[in-house]
Amino acid sequence: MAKTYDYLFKLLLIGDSGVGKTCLLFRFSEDAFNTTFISTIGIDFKIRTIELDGKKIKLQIWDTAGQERFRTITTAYYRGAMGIMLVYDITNEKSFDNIKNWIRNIEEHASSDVERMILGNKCDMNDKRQVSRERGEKLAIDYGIKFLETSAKSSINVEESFFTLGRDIMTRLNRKMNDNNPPGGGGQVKITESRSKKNNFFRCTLL
Amino acid sequence: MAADTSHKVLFEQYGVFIHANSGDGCIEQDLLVSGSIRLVDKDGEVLVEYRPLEDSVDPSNMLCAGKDSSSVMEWGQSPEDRPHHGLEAQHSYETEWDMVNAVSFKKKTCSNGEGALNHSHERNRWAFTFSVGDLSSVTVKMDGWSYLFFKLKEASVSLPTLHFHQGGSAEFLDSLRRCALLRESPEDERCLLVSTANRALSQSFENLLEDNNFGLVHKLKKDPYVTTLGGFSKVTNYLFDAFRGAEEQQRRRPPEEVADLLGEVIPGLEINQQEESGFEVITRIDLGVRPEVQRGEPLSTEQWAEHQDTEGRILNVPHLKQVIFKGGLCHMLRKDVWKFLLGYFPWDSTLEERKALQRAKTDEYFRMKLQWKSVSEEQERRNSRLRDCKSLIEKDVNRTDRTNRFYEGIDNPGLVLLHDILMTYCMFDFDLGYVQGMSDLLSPLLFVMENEVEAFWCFVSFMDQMHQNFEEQMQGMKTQLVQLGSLLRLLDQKFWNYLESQDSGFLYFCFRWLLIRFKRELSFHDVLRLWEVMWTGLPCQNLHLLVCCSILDSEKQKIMEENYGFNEILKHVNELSMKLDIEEVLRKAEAICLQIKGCKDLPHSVSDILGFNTDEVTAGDPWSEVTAPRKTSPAPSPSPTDRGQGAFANGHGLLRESSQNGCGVSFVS
Repeated sequence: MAKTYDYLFKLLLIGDSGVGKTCLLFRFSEDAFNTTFISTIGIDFKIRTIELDGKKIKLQIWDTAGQERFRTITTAYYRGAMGIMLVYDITNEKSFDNIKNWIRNIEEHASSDVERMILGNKCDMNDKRQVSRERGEKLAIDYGIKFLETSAKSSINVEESFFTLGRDIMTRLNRKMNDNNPPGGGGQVKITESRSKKNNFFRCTLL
Repeated sequence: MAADTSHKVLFEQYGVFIHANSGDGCIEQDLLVSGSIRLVDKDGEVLVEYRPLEDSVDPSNMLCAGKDSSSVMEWGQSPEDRPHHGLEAQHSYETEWDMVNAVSFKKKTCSNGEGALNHSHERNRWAFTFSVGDLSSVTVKMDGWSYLFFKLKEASVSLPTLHFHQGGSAEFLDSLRRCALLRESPEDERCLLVSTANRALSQSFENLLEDNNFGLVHKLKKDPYVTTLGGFSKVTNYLFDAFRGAEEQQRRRPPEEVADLLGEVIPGLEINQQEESGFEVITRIDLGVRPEVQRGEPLSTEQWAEHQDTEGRILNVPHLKQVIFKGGLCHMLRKDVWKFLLGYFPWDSTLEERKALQRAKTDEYFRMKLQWKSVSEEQERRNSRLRDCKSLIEKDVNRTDRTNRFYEGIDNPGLVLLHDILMTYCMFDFDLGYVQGMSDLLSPLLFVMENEVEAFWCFVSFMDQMHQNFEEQMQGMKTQLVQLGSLLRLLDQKFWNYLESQDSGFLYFCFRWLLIRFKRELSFHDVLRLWEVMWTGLPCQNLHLLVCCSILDSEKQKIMEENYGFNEILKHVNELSMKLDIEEVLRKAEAICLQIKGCKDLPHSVSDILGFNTDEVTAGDPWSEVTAPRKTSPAPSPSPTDRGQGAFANGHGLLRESSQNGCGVSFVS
């Protein structure tokens, strides 16, 4: 059977409850905005295949529950993520402040070379804005992470975000392959920090 | 490949990795070596061999699946029925970052023995072989995959940790158990101390028992089947050794004889005789046929009226519950009957008493409601807990059942009630506060009650049942997932093995089902039906776990046939939402309950989960949880010291005395 993609990237959406993670994902995967919102319980993912430099990239994007309480289950999915979208809501100061905590979470549970990106969502709601674009940019610069303001509702920068993250992963990958594939070499591949540092309550029940 | 009689591969698993620090200096870098682990019987000596693949990772093959479309498979999708020792070329695609550089392995099978010498030094650096007799312990850890750390008796020799990226560690340990006695270290339950079979022969039964003494009850509760199967393998080893006698170094064992013996002392066991490998595996308990059951009609208003005396007490509650269990309630009755089912109203209360209760509860409700209503903005600014709760509740109320007419639109009063009840619940149980999912549990209650106070108190009762699911550590969720695992394993070992082989044995995909009791899986009205049936407490406790089993039983064929991996299983299960037929699901759940109930040799742990024998537990005796006398074994319970005389594992998480054999043998698993 013909394969429909060249690469598979696993992405993860994290951020406080209600910032619009599921809506961003829905906009990106279905190009639609559902006004009948529903909170995410547990975890789910959607797939969209995009094309970058003539290569078909299958993006497997995982959507998580935002509430602190669910981190025991959601952090289990950090491992293996190649890219993480950190989402806050520009109309909600707290969700912006929490980005720092989410970054700390990534550092604890995800692979250290995971590509990250910060999104300030709901930028269509300028009248209710609590977090200026400048503050978002500054935070991103402080962490050395790319940043975009998005609107899932008005379809602003959603495509751009996922394409940017995908491209960054691709770049890292190519760099790694070049590093690891010296001319004439045929040895084993070196992987930077490939082991994750996760802990998982749910997994320690066996054996 | 023709089997060499003096060199027999007992087990083989590919996709076993060594993560070696390359010592590169600047950045911590890992060298990833892929290889295979084998258990080989070489002239009676059992060896563990690890060999790297010839080209562990061929960079020319990396991430270039497009060149060879057949070479890419998603991680964890390998066919279940592919033998672990399959020698055909196996390509795999790891979707995870840390494996991304190893997407496609070109594997050339190493021949046995000296062939390995032809490989490059670099690869051979990672190969190792040792005799099981030299093995001191195996430590098992989980990190998404399992990895094993071997410690030899010769302490100066250290071996690299083996990572079973493609599963197979449990099977490896099972195979190892057939040639050695593994027992849990008293200090570290992840550490299995190894004694070889020969040594096991010389060990007394006390040792076996001692093994079981350490954390047995604890282990049984956590994972009865792993525990018991492990335990059983020790007994089979013992029996093999006993039968083998002088016939040493020969792995041909008398399977029929052992099977007969085991079958005689442990009725109901099925013994799977694997002629070629020379040992037996106790596969499963014979559950018998699943009975056909019928669903009934919903309880009618006439029936309900007949069950009340003149003062309003409810009569013949068991019968009433039975009818409700079989067919649910007609919608008109829900508003009344749910209050009884949830325990808000006592069944034996009179109408007058209930009115008084409602008055008191109304006062209590509004007193608590006033508490958060009267918090000023200034106070709220200094109360982050309350602020956080409020913000979460507002967010969730706006996205709970908004397509239901009761909650649709912008200024629907249903939304205000939902909000106010949840806020008041925060004041009622401030330690718990608000956790996502609670709005899903409240919504149907409010819909049925159409009354703020009554919905609140019914919600309080429902939350009493569900509380642990939402607590900080989510202990309720963990317990239920483990219990569900036990049930699934009992019902269909093959399906369970499949789930485990796809790293899905933790049953994450049931998380949403259990957290909010199928609220998102069924249509709104089917949720009402399921919940009222569940609240009857019939036909056993934890019916919702059997509902999970019922749904999975209907899906397992597809999951296995389509060879779903971890991701696909989750996706498939998530997408069952709104496609389930509640009556069919309930019918099968009841049938499964009856099937399990009818099983004579039911593991005690399973009886505990379903509450089949709660009355038999003797308080104070640490063994009582697993030694409650059963109808089939009327022999008096020996004291704990007596157990030292003989211990057999029966393979089913069940400690059980046998009266059938006169020498006072206990069955310890």
